[in-house]
Amino acid sequence: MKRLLAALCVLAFHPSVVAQQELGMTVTGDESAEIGLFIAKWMDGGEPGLPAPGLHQEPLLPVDPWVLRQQLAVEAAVRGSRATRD
Amino acid sequence: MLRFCLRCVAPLLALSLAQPVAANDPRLASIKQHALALYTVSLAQRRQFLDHAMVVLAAADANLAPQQIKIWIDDELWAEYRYRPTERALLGTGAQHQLGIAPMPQGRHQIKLEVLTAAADPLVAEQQLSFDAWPLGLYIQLKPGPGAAPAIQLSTRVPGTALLAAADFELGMGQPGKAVTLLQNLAAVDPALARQPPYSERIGRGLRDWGLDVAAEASMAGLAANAQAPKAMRQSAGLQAAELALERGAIKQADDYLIAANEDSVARRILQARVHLARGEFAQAGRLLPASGAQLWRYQLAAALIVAGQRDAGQALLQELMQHQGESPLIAHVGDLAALKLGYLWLAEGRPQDAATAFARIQPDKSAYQSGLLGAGWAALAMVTEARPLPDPTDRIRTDFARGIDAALNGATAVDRPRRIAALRAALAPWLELADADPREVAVQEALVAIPYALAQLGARDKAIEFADKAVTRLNAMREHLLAEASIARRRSVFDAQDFVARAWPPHPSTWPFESSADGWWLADKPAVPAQSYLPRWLGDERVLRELQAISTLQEVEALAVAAGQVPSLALRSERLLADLAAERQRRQTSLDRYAVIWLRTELVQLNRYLVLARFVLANLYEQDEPR
Repeated sequence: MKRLLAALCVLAFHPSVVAQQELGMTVTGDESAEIGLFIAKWMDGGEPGLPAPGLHQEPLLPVDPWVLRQQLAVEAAVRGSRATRD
Repeated sequence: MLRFCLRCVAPLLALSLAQPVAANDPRLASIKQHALALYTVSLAQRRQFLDHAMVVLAAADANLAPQQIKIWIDDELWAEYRYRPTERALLGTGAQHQLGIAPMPQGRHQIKLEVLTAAADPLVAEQQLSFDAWPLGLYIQLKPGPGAAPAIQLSTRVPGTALLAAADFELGMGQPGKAVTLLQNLAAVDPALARQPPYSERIGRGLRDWGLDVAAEASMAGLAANAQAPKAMRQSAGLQAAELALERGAIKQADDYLIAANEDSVARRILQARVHLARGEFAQAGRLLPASGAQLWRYQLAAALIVAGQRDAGQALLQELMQHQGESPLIAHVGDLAALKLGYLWLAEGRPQDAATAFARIQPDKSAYQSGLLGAGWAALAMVTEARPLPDPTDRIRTDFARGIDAALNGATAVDRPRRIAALRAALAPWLELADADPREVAVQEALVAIPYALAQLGARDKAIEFADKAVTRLNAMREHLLAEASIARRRSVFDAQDFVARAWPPHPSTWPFESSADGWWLADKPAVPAQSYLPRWLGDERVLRELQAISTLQEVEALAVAAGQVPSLALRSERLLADLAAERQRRQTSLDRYAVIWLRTELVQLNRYLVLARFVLANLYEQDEPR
């Protein structure tokens, strides 16, 4: 039953191949990078419980000063325009 | 082997850290140079300011800075201009505004003005003036009049210093192309002033801000060597030449400029440190960078150190940086970035307690805050993990700390119940702050899945189902939206960059048409995502920002080409240039259109991962209820 549910949520909720591609779930290239395959492996391995959904990372990259300033200006503009409307 | 590779790439990375990430676009630089050259030729060929008059406005102080001005020439309305707050602020500090060049043959003309200031009723002036002496001009000065009332003073002579102040206005408004053309006009009408250092300083700054770096560097280097210029101006020019050289990768040249500048200032030490950073001499760079006033470059140094394998030194710098908050928006942002990156570094190193301290430093209501809340939840949960080898990853998309948490909560050596419950509750506290936040943000998407995960681990099945259902609903609405928008973006252009730039560039609250969280549409039972809801986030993307800046520059260049085309002998060249500009603008628009599709697809892939996980959590929870 568990396997069926996993299959349902990974693949069957949108059955067309195009949809699967758009969902990023087709097993191509670096297979282990696909979340669908991960869940399948999780189930195959008989893992108990749920996987911790910690995907987000914050790599330490150099910042471009001009881009950073523009992004801050955009952020200030967004806040300012919201304040104006409120 | 890895260390060896890192040692090899470290100098290259350091070089990239010492310079902006993307160099100037040579195609754009070529178009700008072409347009400037054409405009300069046009100035020489036409008897400018004999049948046209330059109109410049000056305000004596901030109280007299106008909100609006209307000008009639011979009873015809020639100009109506509303000043934005930033423009008024500039006028209040001595900058002046060139309203344009009015067609006005020599002779007598009736001039009428209506000026609206904050101080009084509209000021009105009407006067017949004789425009005889070259160069023709209309100089409008708002001055304190007799008593308390302000007064308008009109003159037909625009001094060269007014054009310098008008260049300051355009530079202050982020319109360096206009500033450069103003200065070229000044050179045509007052060559003596154009040989003076204040002119060189502004033309160098204008060229630099307009991205004509080579010309700007030559101008600044010339000023640095000009014995007539005041010492402070020479030194400042030398430092700017050094910075320009550094940005084009000419490290030795930059060093030479710095040696010639021969002064000890914070700005010089920072530039010298950037030279060392570019050479991979991290220790020297670190010694020169002051703790205050160089936070951005200390952040770059920290990144270089960590990539080069000097993790302790890099992390110590980040730790120091995250203490700086509230000194300026930029410094505060660098402090937040340092805290966020350090938090995730420490999470990856199995130091959740330290990570929690770092995440707690991030300022509320800032861009890094939501990622910080997400990280704070993971740090709280990762307290249950122990320093032991993790099993080989079955997936490479999840973080190591997530696998560590799995091992602690689901594995054979699961931690004791009270500790587990305390950690899960502590994790839920920051995550629940994100539960009803804008699901377009990736940190919110992850929190939407993490909340039911933690509730399920606590055994609160009904509550977990409620949150998992909410996550599926919102993420699915976002998915449908992104699919629909990607489909539209594949078929046609979805964003008129030229129109946007004309209305809203550079970013400013008074003109910015988008807001990040319009009306909480995601809180509805059946969320309907507004059309083009992704645009506010897309506009903050580095590539989009660069394209918008380039399109803004093209608009300035177009004005130059049109002005040059007024000289009959240059009309054909101007037309060709305008055709080139139109093609370049179209190329940029096409590039943005294509990028919109790529960006939407990337968003979709990321969102799908969370949607699938949310469905998996929900399915798993429902399964627990099945009769056995």
